[in-house]
Amino acid sequence: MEIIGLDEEKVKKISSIKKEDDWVLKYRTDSFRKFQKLGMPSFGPEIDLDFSKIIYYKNNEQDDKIQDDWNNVLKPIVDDLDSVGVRESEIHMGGMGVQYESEVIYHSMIREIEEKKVVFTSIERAMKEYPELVQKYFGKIVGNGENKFAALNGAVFSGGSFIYVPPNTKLDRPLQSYFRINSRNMGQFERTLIIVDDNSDLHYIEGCTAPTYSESSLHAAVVEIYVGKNSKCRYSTVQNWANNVYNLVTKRALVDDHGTMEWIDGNIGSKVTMKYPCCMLKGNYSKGTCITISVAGSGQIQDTGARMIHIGKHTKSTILSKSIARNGGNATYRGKALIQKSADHSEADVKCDTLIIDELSKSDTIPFNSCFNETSTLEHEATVSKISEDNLFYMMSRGISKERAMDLIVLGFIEKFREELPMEYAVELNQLIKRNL
Amino acid sequence: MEKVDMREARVKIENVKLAQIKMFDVHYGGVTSFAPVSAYTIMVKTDEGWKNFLNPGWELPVFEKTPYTGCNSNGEDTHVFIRRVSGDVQDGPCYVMDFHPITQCVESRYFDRNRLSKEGVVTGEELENYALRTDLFMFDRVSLIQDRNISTMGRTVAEDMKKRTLFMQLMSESEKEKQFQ
Repeated sequence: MEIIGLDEEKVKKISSIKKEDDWVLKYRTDSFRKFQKLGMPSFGPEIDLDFSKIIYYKNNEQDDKIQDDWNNVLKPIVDDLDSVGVRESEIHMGGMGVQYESEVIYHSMIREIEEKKVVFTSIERAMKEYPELVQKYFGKIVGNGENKFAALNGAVFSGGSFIYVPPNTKLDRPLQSYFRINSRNMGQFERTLIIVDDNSDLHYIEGCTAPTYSESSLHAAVVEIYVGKNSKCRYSTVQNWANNVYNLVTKRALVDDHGTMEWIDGNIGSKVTMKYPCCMLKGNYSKGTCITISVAGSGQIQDTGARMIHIGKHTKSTILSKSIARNGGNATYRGKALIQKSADHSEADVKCDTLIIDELSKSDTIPFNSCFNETSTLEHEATVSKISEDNLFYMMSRGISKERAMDLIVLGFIEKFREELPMEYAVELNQLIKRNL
Repeated sequence: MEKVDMREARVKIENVKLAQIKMFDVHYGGVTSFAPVSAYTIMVKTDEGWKNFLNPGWELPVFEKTPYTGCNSNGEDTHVFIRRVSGDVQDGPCYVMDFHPITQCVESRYFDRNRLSKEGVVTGEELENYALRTDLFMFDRVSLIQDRNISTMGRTVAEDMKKRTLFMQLMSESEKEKQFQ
């Protein structure tokens, strides 16, 4: 079944397909009205989208039940996922969810994690099984009126993960979700809500690592994360959408006292990416980190960065952005470090490095750094460089081919990012970047 | 400036920008958007200043976006700063050009990449092709399609006419609202 184009009736239809409660339907219709009122973002790249042609909902022929056994998933889908190594990566994870088009089709978790009372399920199921917990946080960290695409997600969201890590729980292995779009003009609007309760620890990996073969698709996700007192959450993602996908994502974490949020964000594919993971450092002594890389090739615009909003006292943030522009690509860093008046004795450190491979490509750095008190420090450092002829010559004089030397220089440039990824992802990232050079 | 001449023209990329048609509000101190429909056009810098490539006779004040955004206390971007390029600051429609040249804003497949890298110029024909093929609503595309006598674009004409009517309606409503203020 497919829903193409959007009006209020279609929004209600999605809600009825999912048999949702009234509060969810109300949230959807309110979001839809806001979507209609809001204009396109006034900053960043032009977005060449016709909303009337997008498929807002599509389910596969599988029955409604989310499977926990691959044998019950339709064979063509399994084959498709096998081709990109999704099932292979499951052995390294504590739990895994897979979304195909609009619906989550597979979810499983290892027994040790289930025993710790961790909840890892689809957002729809969580709304039915844990309504109070979901309602407490859903739509509170990212409002549905903040931007046009957050509002659109609020209206038509489908799929996505819900994770609840109870207090005093540490997970030894990461949890992973994998998202795949396979149709032309498909819109994927997953909604992720992660709650890491006090004194807990979570590593979550979002995999959009495989290239898709769709055209003019839209991925407009919303991710909300709550990091409790003394807790830590790391959210790693490497997106490699096809070069016809608009990737317009709103990601935000609210961090409580002594909490730590880390965004590890890789952007390799897509036609246009606008993504600025944000940490609201509300608690005293809370920390936020964002390490991001963007690779923009021919026809690609990577408009990425991070936002760190310091509200609590003694808060610390670090943004490390690495951009690579090649073959006429446009890699822009657009970030924000805002130390509010209440955030006494806080520190923010922003570092942006860009590597421009050829004359056709382009990179901008658009920082917005503000500090509204006198006890805090804010540092910003930016570099733009080209591949040095000297370095190339040095390596070639030792028998390394020019192509291999360029690979080594680029991989060295993003070393800090690779260090932060799990081993199997770092290897995959190397391959992706080499393929894109 | 005639459109036919522009087809043969070769323009440096820094002199071609994508622009939106918006309403300037002096009281608000900026431009307002008509959320249900965004109207675009292409601006070309000539000896007489910036002109609307698709409808050179339609002269409006011209503004340009800066890369800098303003935000709320959550750090969420709420607006982008613009600067005046030409024309008077007054209530009414205006062109708001992008900060980057058009070649940086739209897909490179519309332009000859070899020429772009060697000479840094685009042709009027390429700009017309882009205006005809893009999914963005080009405000004056209908007259371009009629001028070129393209019979296969009936659906685009119908959709554009619908959007054009809605846009004009929103524009007049916005002016009416101002009269009541």
